Amino acid sequence: MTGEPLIDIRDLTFSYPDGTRALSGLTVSIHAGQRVGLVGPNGAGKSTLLLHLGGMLSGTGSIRVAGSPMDRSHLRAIRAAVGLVFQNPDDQLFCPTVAEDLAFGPRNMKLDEHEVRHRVTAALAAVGLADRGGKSPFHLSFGERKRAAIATVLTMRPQAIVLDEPTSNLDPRGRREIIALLERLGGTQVVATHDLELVRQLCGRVLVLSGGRLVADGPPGEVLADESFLLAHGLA
Amino acid sequence: MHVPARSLSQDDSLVHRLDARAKLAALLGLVIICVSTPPGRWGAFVFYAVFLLAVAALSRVSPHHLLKRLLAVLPFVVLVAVFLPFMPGQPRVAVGPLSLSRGGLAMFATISTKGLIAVGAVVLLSATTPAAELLAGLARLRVPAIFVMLLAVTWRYLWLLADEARRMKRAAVARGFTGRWLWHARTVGRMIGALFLRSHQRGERVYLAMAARGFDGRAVGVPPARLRGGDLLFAAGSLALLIACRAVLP
Repeated sequence: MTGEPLIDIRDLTFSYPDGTRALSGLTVSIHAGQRVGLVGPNGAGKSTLLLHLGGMLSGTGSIRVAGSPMDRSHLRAIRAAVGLVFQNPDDQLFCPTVAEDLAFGPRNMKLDEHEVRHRVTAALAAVGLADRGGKSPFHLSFGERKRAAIATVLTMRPQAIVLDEPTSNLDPRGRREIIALLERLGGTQVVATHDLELVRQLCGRVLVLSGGRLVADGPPGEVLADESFLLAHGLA
Repeated sequence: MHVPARSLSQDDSLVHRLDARAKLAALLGLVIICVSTPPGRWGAFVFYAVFLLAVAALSRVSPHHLLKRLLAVLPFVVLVAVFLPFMPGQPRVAVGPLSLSRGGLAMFATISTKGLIAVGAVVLLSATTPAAELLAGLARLRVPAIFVMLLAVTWRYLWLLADEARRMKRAAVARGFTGRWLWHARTVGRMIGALFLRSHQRGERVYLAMAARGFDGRAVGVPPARLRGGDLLFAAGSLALLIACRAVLP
């Protein structure tokens, strides 16, 4: 890979206020166009890392997104560049209708209303919910809500999509639909997941976090083939 | 508890098709005009009721449903006024063994009537307008965006909270909980505590998800929409009629 990485993390360390060390000395860079799987046992620091990418937490060390350092003055631009999709769609979808939720991000970006509507329609179609815009999230199936949650960041046209457990709690069809959707969307994606099969299928690169440290970084075919390594880090 | 898949507000009628702003103006206008009408002006009160019934008839919402919603709220209204007839003061009327104050009785009748009409107006408004449209209508009527957002979020998460409570209770029932005895209050208290904590945590996650999409505490408004002639006619006509009646009728 040449050129500046889209996401560049150096020596990131973070402890929660109660003293729990969640990330220690994490250094990793992700280039535009890469689809990266982020795996690790519960409590390994995956979610903490994702929250750092959205600027919700700030540890020591440095994070640069699209060349800008993560600081107050760049926060707005970085949040527009990194589309963060949370695990529980009911946390993400807070508006009375799906379409309004999809319009929330672009309106925060102060786009004009015509463009907002255009993006909402396009994103609904992209996730296969073209006829669901006027519905309350409550009336969507769980799989539909998962896809709607992804659509809420698509309308912001981010440079990277960061997803926390996109296939958790889904039935096989819902899971298949999400995987197909991620494949179709393309672009830069960071996918935190326990779904190793998804990583094998979609990702050209996998990062393994364990105890807040990066313990492996490479193609899934190599990293995820080592059974004793997976066992040692709670992945098998 | 579930948001009904097909609620009354999704039916179709002249009233359903009106812009939410027109309905808000006319029906909330009715509430204010009715509440501000001096006691004893029974002609005016009868007219308000007739107006409400006429709009209800136009909306073609089944009277059964309207009545059911009305009855759910009414006891609270009546409870406020029910002690008024027992106030001290002359003259008094004897009703069986009870001695009631005539002024108190009149006040009881007025307050109950006002409550009935006001609640009826709100019930009719909610039965003919989907929540999303109602909220957009409020925003377009220049209600501060942050209030509208608060209402929207409340409406959205109320159902989730109810669902969560139901699941929690089901899980407890599965382990033999009946909720029938006094010592079960302790369990119920813990459940409420757990619900509160979960809601608080959910609130934080919702906020994070909003912040990730560029929310900076300033709620964004909804796009403007033009009022049609019929909407203006309905709102202006209703208000003019109601104000005239409040002024003229005995």
